[in-house]
Order: sequence, then structure tokens, then C-alpha cells
Amino acid sequence: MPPGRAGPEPGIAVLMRDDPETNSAAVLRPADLATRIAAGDAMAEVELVRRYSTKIEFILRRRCRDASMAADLRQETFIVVLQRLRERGIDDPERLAAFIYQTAINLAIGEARTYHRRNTHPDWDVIASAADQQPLLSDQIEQEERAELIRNTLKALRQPRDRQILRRFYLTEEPKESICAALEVSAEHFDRVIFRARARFRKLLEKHVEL
Amino acid sequence: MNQHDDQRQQERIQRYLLSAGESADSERLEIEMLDDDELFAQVQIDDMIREGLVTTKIESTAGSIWGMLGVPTRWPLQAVIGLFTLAVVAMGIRMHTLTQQIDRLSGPQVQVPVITLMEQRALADSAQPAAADLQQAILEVDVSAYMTQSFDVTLQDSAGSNTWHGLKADQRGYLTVFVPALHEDVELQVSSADGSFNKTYRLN
Repeated sequence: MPPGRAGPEPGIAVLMRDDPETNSAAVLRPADLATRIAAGDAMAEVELVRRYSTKIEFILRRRCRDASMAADLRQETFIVVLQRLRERGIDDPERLAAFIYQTAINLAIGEARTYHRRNTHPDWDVIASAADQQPLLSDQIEQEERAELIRNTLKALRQPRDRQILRRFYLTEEPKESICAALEVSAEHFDRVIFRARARFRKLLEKHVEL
Repeated sequence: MNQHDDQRQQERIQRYLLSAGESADSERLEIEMLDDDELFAQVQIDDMIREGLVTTKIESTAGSIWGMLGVPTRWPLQAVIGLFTLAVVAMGIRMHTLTQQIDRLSGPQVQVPVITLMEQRALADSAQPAAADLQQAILEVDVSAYMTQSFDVTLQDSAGSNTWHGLKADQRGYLTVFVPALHEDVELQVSSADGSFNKTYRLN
């Protein structure tokens, strides 16, 4: 907890437990989340991090192609966001997600700010602990297991042409119409193949991780 | 979300994952994803499928040559490849040896034996001195006693025969033949165009 800042108020936590339908941090709208954080609600902070942390890390990982740098940037993003919400709030609380997003992107662009990333603040444990609860799906399952899931998904597509559809759809920028024409399949068949493959992959994945 | 919307969403996710769309579209999707858990799950799943397909594609490419062949086909093919490799190595060694020989022959040499084939030692009389231990030699035939200007010479050995026509004797009255690889049972026939000289010499 930063110096000079009020700690979490027990009364709010009690209120949240008593009336989960309306007050639980888990169902708060983004604007309410921002307002509560501005009011010093530590539970709202934890919820904010829990809700957005994994997603921000996913986005950052795609941007900087470096898992550890993405994790550092994610942490810094929430330091900046929480500090801002605590101190001044944001102009449009409804657009909280966009604010968090823009903060993350700005930090990724200006990644020269290594000083802050390398000097973690001990009072921001809320970020690390909340983020650890929800690792990315890809981090929850080993690469070899993922490849096995794909192999099983492909096995379910008995026609080589259907496997071609899947590969071309996922690995190339080829438009659907072009794939359908090249493989002489209807748009309906194409959709069916993709839908079934995704559904099967998801089902197989759910045996390994919680979605 | 109806089926049409679902397809559009799917294509939108694909463009995002392939970084093929406009950056503004990608940003919109990312922001949307922050407040939409189902969309985020879908993006992650599609990302994993895509990544998995890349991995399995690499695997299948690497194993495609052998994978396409059954075990009964694979072993003979390996044997053929092995034999081919051995043949290439053998050819390489042979080439090296030939190159060395060419280098040796084209360079200056000393102590090359000279075998003078005197007329009185022609085949009719007796065989010439043994040449079995010699690798190369200069054979010279004394034709100084003849006025003929032009001679035909045929060298025959186990490797085949060579004939030279119209050879002229040097100032000493000798015809000379350099034999780079002297085989056993070498026979040299020398004859003049006018028929006044016709001798056969044999080295063994």
C-alpha cells in the first residue's frame, strides 16, 4: 500500500458479502469499479487486476513477443492504472478497459522505462497475487500437450480436404471464399468444419484447463 | 449471436491473430476483449489452434519423406542411398589419384629410364631387357642406318595400342616414345613408309 493512502475499509467488504447481487466486485460494471477504486476500495482493486490482468498480458505478449517482458509491462500497467484511479480517477470511467489498454500500449511502445520495471514496488503485491490466479490458457498447458490436442482435433476431421480447410483458414490470410473455391466446398461446409474443429479443440482443452 | 455474426466474429479473430487486418480493427477487438470473457476465450483458443497447426505442420514436413514410406520400402531405399554414398566416395578417391598422376606427369621428372631398342635386338633375334619393374620409360629406336625420312610406330600392350604415323628420327637417328605407364609385354612395331624397315621389339 502506498504511503498516505487509506487502507481497505472493512465495512465495504462486509457490504459486498451481504449483497452479492448488487455490490460484489465480481459483477461491478467497469465504471463502478473505477469509482470504488477512487474511493479506496481494495477489493475493487483486486477485482480490476483479476478481470483485466490476463487479457492485458495476452495483448502485450502479442505486441512484444517476449513473455517475461510482457509480464513486466503488465505489472507496470496496473501500477500506473491503479495509481491514476486512486489519485485522480479517469475522465470517462465507462471506458475503463480502453484506458487500461491504452496505458499498456503506451508502456509497450515506450519500453525504455526499464527503471520502473526493474524496481518492483513491495506495496503492489495486489497485482502479482491477483494475476497469478489466472495465467494465460497457453501457459496452463505444455506445448507438447497443445500439439497433441491439435493432432487429436485433426484426427477427428477424417477428410483430408477438411484438414486443408482448417490449415488454410488458420495459417493463411486467404479469404473464406477463395478457400471454398479452391477446395470446391460450400460456405456451409466450410463453416461446419471450422465450427466442429473449434468445438472439439475446446472440449479437449477443457479436460486440461478451466475455461 | 446468430450464425452470421459468429462467422464474422471468427473471421475478425483470424485477421487479428494473423495480424492481417487494419490496426484500428485490432485495437477495437483487443479493447472489446477486455470486457468480454467469452471473446477472450475464443481468441485464446483460436490462437492455440493456430499455433498447434504450425507445430504439427513443421512436424509433418520434417517427417513427410520417411513418413510416407512404409518400413518395407524404407530399408531398400536406405541401402541404395548407402551404396550411392560409397560409390561417390570411391569416385572421389579415384579422381584424387588421377589428379595426382596428371600432376606428376605434367611436371618435370628426373631419373626416367631410357630403353634403347637396337636393331639387332629386334624380335627376330631376342626380347629386350625386362621392363616389368618400370612404371614409365622412354623407348628409343635406332633407325640411323636408314635413309627413310618417315616411320610409323605402333605401341601395343595390355592396355591397348597406339599408332603414330610419319615420325621423323632425331639428329642422332633415333625415334623416341615416352610411355607413362609401362605394362608388361610391351610390343613396339616400327616400319618405314617405303617398307625398307619393319621391326618388332618386345619388352617383358
